[in-house]
Amino acid sequence: MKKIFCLLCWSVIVLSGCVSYEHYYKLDENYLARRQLETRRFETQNEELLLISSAQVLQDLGFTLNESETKLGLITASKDREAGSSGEKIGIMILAALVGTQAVYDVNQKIYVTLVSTKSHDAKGYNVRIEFARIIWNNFKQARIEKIQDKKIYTDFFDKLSQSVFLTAHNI
Amino acid sequence: MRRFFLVCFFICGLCGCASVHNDVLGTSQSQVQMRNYQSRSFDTNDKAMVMRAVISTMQDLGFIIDRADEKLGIVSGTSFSHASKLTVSVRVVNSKQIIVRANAQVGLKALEEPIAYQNFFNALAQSLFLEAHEVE
Repeated sequence: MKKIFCLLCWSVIVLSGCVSYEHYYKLDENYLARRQLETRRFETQNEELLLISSAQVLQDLGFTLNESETKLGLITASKDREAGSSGEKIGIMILAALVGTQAVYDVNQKIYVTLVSTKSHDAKGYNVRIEFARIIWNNFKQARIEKIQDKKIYTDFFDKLSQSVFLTAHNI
Repeated sequence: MRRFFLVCFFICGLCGCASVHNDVLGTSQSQVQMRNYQSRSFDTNDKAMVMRAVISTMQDLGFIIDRADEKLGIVSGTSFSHASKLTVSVRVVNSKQIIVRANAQVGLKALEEPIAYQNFFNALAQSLFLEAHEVE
């Protein structure tokens, strides 16, 4: 017993010493693809209009603005929403009842947005980059965090932003 | 007996103070050591450009930007994948140089591994197209 305990302690010490930080804050091979997905160029010299239009779209989508720093072209926002559809939850509950286990399903979520505008390299326009991430809580109050990488979400957002730039420019 | 309890109470109180003091002001390295690996200087005086590059680099590294302040030169973000928080400060030291300093915590601990900061400054230098110099 004593031997096993000592072995366990030794392995815990060795394992905790093995945490490697070499991969921390290192660019991975997908960062350019990710940047491309999250960025859209707008042919305008008016950064203020672009940021106002962005804030308008975020309001259209029900986000609450948390932070803004116009000198850096930054807006952050978030919103709380229910997670998963009712049908999905009922399906999980039925399945869990049949198997005889406790049903685990998502209950609510907080969606975060970071939007940054930067001058394009040729200085003729502005690039807007947006990132979506969310924290999801299940019915046991356990949380999981994920970055949203769905291409359609980004495409649809930028389409809405293009429309908003037009609407805002025309005071609509 | 009463005296014994009083002494025990006093010792417990002292232990509590030591622990809180350590939590609030304790570091495992000296200020000079930490500043050395947490800071880099860049040959430019364009603070806004460096701050925008910091934001862009943090986004490339998967950080969600929590806040930024141009006047104070501070950007803070959270990385869900590494369960870490990072604050970067940018300050102009003279007409030719800017010092960027980063400090991070992973989980409930301060990140005190120079390699992680080295990686961050490499990524930032790539974004800035400038060479990062160690701060003496």
